Amino acid sequence: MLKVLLVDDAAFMRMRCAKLLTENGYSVDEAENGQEAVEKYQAIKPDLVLMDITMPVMDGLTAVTEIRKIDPDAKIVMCSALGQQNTVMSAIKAGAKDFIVKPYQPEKILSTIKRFVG
Amino acid sequence: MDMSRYLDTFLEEARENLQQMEQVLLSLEASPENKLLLDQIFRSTHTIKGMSATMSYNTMAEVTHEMENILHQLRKGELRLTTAFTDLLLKAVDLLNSMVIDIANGGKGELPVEHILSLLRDSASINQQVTAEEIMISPAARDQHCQLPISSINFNQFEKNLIMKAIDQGYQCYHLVVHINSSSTMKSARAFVIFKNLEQVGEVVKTIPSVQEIEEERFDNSFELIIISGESPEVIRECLLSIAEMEEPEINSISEVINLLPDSKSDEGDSNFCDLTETMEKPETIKTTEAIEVREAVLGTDAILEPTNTRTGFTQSIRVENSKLDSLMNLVGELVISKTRLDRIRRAHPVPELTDTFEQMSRVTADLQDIVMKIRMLPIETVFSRFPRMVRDLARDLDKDIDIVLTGEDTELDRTVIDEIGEPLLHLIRNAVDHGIENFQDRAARGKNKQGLISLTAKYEGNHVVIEVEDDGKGIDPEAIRRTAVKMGLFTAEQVAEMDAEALVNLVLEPGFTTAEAVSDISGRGVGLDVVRSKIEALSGSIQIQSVPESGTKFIIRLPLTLAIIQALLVSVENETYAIPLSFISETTSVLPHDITKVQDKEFMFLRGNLLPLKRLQNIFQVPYSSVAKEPEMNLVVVKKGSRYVGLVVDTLIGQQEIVIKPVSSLFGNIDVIAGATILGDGCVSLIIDVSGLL
Repeated sequence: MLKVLLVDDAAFMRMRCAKLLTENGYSVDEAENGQEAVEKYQAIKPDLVLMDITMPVMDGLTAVTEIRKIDPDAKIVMCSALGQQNTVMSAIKAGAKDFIVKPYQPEKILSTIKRFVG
Repeated sequence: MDMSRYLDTFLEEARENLQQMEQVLLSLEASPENKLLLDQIFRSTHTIKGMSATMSYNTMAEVTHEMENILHQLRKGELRLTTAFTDLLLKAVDLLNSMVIDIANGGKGELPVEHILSLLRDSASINQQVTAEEIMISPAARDQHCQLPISSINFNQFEKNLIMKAIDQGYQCYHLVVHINSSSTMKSARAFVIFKNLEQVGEVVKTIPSVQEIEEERFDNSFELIIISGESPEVIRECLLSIAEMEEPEINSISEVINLLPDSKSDEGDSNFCDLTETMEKPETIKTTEAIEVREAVLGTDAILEPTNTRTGFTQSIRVENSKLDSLMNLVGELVISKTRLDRIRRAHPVPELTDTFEQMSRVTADLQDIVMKIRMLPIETVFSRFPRMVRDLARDLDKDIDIVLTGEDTELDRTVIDEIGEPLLHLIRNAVDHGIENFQDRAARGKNKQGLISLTAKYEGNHVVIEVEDDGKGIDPEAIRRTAVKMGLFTAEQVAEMDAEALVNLVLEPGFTTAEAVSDISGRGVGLDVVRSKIEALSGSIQIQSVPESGTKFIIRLPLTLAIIQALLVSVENETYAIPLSFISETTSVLPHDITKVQDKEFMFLRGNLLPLKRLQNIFQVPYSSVAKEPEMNLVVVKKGSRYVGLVVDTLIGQQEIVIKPVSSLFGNIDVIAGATILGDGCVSLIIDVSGLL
């Protein structure tokens, strides 16, 4: 089963997303900030990371850099709010593979993940 | 076609253009938005490219071609000029310079260029990323972008060449139409991901609309790309479809049809190219007068005197062989001599018509002389222009931030002076950068501006040109000089205690002051400064230092406008006439025999309390004493060189006159008191005294 790490500080968002992904046959782990994401990445080695940008403790951009240090091939998709275009581009330059724009739309999330990990 | 006869023209033009490129690049660094400057450097690059291609210096043409490509993008605003860019372009200019030297030495300019070529090629994509990063989210007006069929895409010459070359090497060229899901937001960031992914499978050559427009989100949901890739269409498709919100792309190989596409006609760069090749194809017209090359326009005399500035701010010029100018100068000199001779005849035989004719001739001769002088003059810019680059590089090496300000670059000097003045100036400026201007910490500690300033100024002052090299560094400490002077035994402690600050500072110009201890003691100044001084004095100039400790040093160089015709004082000993250049004369006075003191066969006198060594011209030149008794009161010409004075005892002061310096034959060559000879109005030859040889 493909493992997805869901990183978002909003519990509600994680819940919704996790439900969607589990229903579609993915194994889901959650992290509520960048720091936790880095730790969990190391432990779980997920196939894909969905990474929020604005989070306490460690933001998404830093987390991308940190995770890439552990695994240069990490597949990270940024979850951006409208208006975070510059941050998204920095994240992509830092090694994120793609981005999706919030609010989460189930079909978009699913199609994006599919493009990456099938 | 045999090109060797155009080699000289090629070399000169190439050097000139390269120098201009370097200058413009540095100005561009200060004002990267200046479109005129960009145009200028583009033209220079283009000229070199055209010339080198015509002369079959292909490596050179290749480098300029790549530079031109970047410059073209800069001009169109697709790239932005950064320091890294300037560095790269400067490096390329350096390389081109080396090639020119190689060609001048009989080579073909075939230097290793792969490294710089790849850097130049890469920089286009680097800059694209930088600009993409800086995109602002603006509600930019969204142009309705119409889908263009491939046949209407305009490739410029460069793009076409690039594609052709890639195809030759086995790559494929694809035309892509990518569609982003219409519900998608942040489309420019999406485009950024697309570019980034495509970079992994190939090279994006062109986009429609332009990269800039895409970055500004000025496209609907689709845009077109031309890419060169070694991968199959399927791999490219997969690469694109792995990106979120992508629709099925259209991918067509255009490798077969690219050659049939028309060139872009609106491309300014290429139309320029045609003009240039045309000019280069007709070198016969350029070279009909052999050594004289007429560029841009044939100018009248007025234009030579007052160079008209073209739109681009560069002087139009006629190039003439040096030897021709020298003989013109010589002939005018002869004319001046004939004129003085005629003057004597006119005085002996006063005929009104002769006087009228003579006066008219005088005026014409004077004008002619003036023009010849001015033709021999070159703006000091030719010397100054290399310093900004030098200061920039040197400051970078030393981790200092130094700005150099040039003023009065259009001040003109005789070309013999121009040829010689570069080296001493270089020395002074290097000194200022290295030792004069402090490092960041020291400047900050003294409350000075972080950025050091060197100003290089040239201006006219009477018959002289004054060049000043001024820095706002730490200055020279007079106390340190006092210590060194005493330590070196040049002066006693009492002597230095009496000297004022200015006299002390100028001691660093003395030959004795160039030892290693002096360097560390007096802020590193003094290194070879006596060399600078002797060089300047060899040009009949003088140098002086003003320095304020903690706030800066100023070197003031005074040079005669020209070396060929000078003002001189004519003096006589018995029946012989000698000329002393006016620039060396400090004063004239008279002396009575009882004022003269003899010390070991050497004669001295006190002039206003200072001991002045005396020399009798009669003894120096061993003029036989005549039987005619002399007046007891003798005429004295006090000449100076640097801080040293000597009194020349002569019989008569004849007067001040303009003289034409003629070189003396090698028979007199090793007599170091003779600087040359001149022909006087009566046809007699008079020797010109070399004051530096006397001291």
